[in-house]
Amino acid sequence: MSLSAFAQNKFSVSGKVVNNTGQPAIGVSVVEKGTRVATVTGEEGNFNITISSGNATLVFSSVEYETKEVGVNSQPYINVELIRKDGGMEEVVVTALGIKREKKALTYASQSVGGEEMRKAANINFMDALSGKAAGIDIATSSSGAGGSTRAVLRGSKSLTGLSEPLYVIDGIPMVNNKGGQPGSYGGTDQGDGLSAINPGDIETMTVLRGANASILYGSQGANGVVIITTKKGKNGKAVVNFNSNTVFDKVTSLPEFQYKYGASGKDYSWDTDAGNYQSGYIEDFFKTGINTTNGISVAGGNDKTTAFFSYGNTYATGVMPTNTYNRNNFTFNQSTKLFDDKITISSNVMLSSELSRNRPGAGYYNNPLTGLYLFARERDFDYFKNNYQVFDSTRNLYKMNWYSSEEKQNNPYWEINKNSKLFKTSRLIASVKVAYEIDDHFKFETRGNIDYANKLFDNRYAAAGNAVSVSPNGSWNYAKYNDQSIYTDGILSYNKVFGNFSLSALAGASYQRMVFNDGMNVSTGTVALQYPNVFTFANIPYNIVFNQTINRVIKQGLFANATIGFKDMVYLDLAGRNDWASTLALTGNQSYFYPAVGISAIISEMFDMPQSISFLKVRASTTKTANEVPFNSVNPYNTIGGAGGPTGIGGITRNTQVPFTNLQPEQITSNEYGLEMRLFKSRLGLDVTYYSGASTNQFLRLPAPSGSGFTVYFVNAGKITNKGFEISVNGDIIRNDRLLWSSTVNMSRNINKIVELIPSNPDYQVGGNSEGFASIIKAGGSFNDLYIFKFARNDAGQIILDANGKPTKAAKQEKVGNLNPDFLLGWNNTVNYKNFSLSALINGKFGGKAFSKTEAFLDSYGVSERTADARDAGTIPINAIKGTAPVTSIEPALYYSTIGDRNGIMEPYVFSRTNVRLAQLVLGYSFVMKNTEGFIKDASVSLIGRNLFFLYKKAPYDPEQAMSTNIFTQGNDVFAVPPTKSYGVSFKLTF
Amino acid sequence: MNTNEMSLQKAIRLLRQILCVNKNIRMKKLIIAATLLVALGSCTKNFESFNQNPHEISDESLRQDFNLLGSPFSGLMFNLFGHQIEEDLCYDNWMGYMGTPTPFVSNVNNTTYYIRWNSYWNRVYNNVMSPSKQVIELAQADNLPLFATWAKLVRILSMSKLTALHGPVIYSNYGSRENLILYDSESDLYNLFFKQLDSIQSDFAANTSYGSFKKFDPSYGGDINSWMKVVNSLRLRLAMRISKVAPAIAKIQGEKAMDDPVL
Repeated sequence: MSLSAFAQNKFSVSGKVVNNTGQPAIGVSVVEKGTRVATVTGEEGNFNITISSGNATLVFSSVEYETKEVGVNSQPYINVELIRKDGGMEEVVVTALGIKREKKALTYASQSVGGEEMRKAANINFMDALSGKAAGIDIATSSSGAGGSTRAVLRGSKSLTGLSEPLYVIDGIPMVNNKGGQPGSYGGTDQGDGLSAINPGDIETMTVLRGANASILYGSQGANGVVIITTKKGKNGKAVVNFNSNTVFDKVTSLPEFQYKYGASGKDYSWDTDAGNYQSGYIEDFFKTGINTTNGISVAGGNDKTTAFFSYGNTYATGVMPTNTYNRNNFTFNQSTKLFDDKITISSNVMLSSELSRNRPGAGYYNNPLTGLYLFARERDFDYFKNNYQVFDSTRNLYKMNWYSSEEKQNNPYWEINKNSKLFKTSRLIASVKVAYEIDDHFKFETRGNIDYANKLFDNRYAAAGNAVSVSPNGSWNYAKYNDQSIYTDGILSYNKVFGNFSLSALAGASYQRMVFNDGMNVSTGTVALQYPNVFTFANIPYNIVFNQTINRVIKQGLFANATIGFKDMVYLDLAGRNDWASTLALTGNQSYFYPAVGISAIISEMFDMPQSISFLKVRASTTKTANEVPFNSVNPYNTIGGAGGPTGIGGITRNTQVPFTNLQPEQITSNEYGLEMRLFKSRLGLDVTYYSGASTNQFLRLPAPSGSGFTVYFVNAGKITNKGFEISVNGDIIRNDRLLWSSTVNMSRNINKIVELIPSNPDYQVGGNSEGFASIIKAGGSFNDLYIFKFARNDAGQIILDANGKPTKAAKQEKVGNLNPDFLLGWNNTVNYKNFSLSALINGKFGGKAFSKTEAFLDSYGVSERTADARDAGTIPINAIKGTAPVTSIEPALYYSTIGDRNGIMEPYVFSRTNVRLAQLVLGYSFVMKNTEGFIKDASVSLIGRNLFFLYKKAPYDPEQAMSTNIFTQGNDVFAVPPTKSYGVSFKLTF
Repeated sequence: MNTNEMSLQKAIRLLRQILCVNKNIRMKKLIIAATLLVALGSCTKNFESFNQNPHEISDESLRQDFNLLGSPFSGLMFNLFGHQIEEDLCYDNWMGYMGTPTPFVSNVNNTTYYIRWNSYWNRVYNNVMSPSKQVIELAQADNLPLFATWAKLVRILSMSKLTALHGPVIYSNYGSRENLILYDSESDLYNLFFKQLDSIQSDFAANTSYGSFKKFDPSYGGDINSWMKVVNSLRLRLAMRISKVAPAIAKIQGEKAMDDPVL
């Protein structure tokens, strides 16, 4: 190339600059010593520079880090690690309301994860990528694939009525994260949440504030912790264009083990005892290889007055379930302009997204292709039903489903995916504007406004002549369309000043938030027949179907103040308070409520002389109280129109029969935490330990009123739930030299949840109930999500009691067999940088807890599991049982499995350990060396991605993390959910 | 510099004077805090209406066209029956009117006498007794007593079925604010039913041309005579039911029903 002449006497070098925690060091200036040849590290800490010769020295400097000189020694690529000034004490963390604070002054736990780390494995949903990378956050992803919802819980479940999920905040402003409907035992589809709309490419960093202590300024919404998302912004300097493209392939893994040698002799249940050799492989072939492609481009730049950032991202995914697709488009534009001698900064941010999901897979019995697929009677010809999933019904002059069984839960899987369409569509706008005014050196005033608006459409159509139980003869239609809108404004006056040995940073502010959710309508025909078959319009809905209008709205106003007093950079005292006014408490006299927080942090390493090895040591403690408003319209609702009406009489009124709750109080959550932060060996090893304990009281409980009371429902404030536990995060550089850097972070956490009391006068009161043999219960004396199932009925000697027909009998009552939540979470994330290569490996472990599979129970009762074939091969199953007074030592497999399996059976054998350890992520990256740093392409890299590759340890016969839903009660329960996937992919990045 | 910018700068300077040049920081903060508080105080006024669901209907709206008392009746009558769970999966199956094509839920269900689902008790108390209590109270308050009479009849229709299934039930003490609410024994209940049917029948008899039920009555279009027939059939049915345990009462009540002019 002709350009080589230009670079003839020069030497080109590239590399990567990271900080002592392995995160990219951005904006570090790289200068050839003794010259004016310079560049700045980019978004991922990468740099390229053309210097006079291979013997030159490079000087790396920035305000944040200690300056470091590195000899090039003719290496084309160098890794550089910088140490933060003063042992890293200048680290700045974005806290509540977007306020930047020095990490050393914080009196509570926080942990940041860089955007690059989140994007490494090309997850479509940014929260899925956080699993294992931050301590104390338990993340469960719905198995419904792209666009599905996520459940994240910090420090245990705290509320009986709420979801106990953290508040998500974008650049200081709360984001709406409403979870749609979730599947249950009978069926349904994950209707997603507010997280899937976010483009992971727009995230600069994420900070997890784990406890209420950190989030008091957000008021009650932050009581379950906060996940703060800081978006990418333009930077002063030449415009940078980034392009990235990922392609990831998904394959189902951890399928149940099936048998294909015993048929059903024309029946539904494959309980033949004469072995045959039947068609197999059709289950594996049913699932496709899912393909997820993400392409994104961003342009960032600016001058010293104005910076701007623009990005566009597209994700198109085809699921492992045939006909399932997901398409997302994201536009983001933000800008920031300084005016009037840089006294006023006006910034704005607009994020637009659209999501379109077709045929997102569900779970449960009804209208689920997997029931028919898995339970298929083995001697039949599956290909026939695959190729002829519909047959013409000449009596009706339309196509009807072709399936051998008329069971309520069975459908031809190909009919289900081809004829029953599910459409979910979300259009969303998040727009904010902020004005910051530097009044003088000490005072600053900021005001912000934000609108978060989403329009959602759910349209599920079930074709005529399908399943006779779940679908009307003319077809069924579920349709919902609504808006979620949140308007947020705040104004904050802050003050910062140093008085001799003391420093003060204080703020006072007010916020107003108006949330109108679910504002729209839904209509569901259920099994009432549409007037004309297969026409899904309002005009075709029968007269006796009610169109529901829905709404859920809250206004919250808050006044808050916070002051941090520091002494000699050694001790910080933090005081905060907030008063809320919530519209949902109107009429109760309790609509205004105040809560305080106090915390202290002491930097021991500043106070005393420490051994050489300790670079930094800090201890902290804080205590806080927050309060939570109650659900909308629960004080004294009106009556509803839409009860039964007659053909001549008018539609009925359903009268409100709830006891008015005019002394309703907000829920209360107290939280205490104690922590220690330490850095050793010149910050090569870091440790962050937190112990926390908290209690939730005044829970808002809905109770059925006693039958004779004249009412049907009443609410009380009662109960006490405690959570305590610890979070440990250790990071360090295992190997660190000029060529090789291996840095590692281990995150561990343990939470102990206890339901101390619910209703003192009614010790048997419980929340949650039996769902077809699976019960996830909250009851005094236990803990959140205790699993109750029916065990075998046994005599005192432990023998299973058989009935007169020799069938095992079921215990009279459901019994607690464990808890569905894991006891201990572990995430071990490693990054190795060697020359141009980087390798990252994430190992995730969950220890303890139970998982439950009704899928396995069904497969057994239908005789299609490998287990039942093995038992038939052996002839009998050994059992320690008693029939009348006669001991029984073996039982016939069909009798045994038909009795215990299916719905509502004896679920004892279907409770498994949740403990599992897996290689969750493996990424191998390569950064290209740019021979010509003045060229068009500044930076290029490619990486190979693997996700959920294999288990290092697992006890359950399936993936126990498989989540059919992300609501609070069906955790750890699987009812014909889509199996989890193993993913492989490739990612390209180019910077211009 | 154009004039616009100059005036803006002036405004900023003025703002700065108000906020900063005044060195009395405490005063300034107080002013801001007071302003915010006043703003908030005035904003909570709409909380009450904001916390009501606009898609629901208030008693005040229902009073228009005298809909308040009649509108719950179609719901009350609908809930006299148990539909899928208590009818189709129980008696209809047991009597052989209906059947299941497959062994439903492993054949362990209501149709095989394993009463897994039973919501009739709650159906009666939640959807008949509780709303009808409101109807009776509102009828007295609004001085439309015949709606209370009608509601009482619907209650007996419903409760007589419940007691047949459950034996003693809460009836005469229904709606009590006491901690302990006593059940009625079956013998007390049937006597009370008969007594109440007497008074219902005489209320109806005195208002045979009453037209206000028409709009709300899916069964008889508000025809009082038809409801009087219902009173008689109910009386006869109750009498037949107790004919083996209290033949004397059964005879009196049965004959009373048969002798009634409207039967």
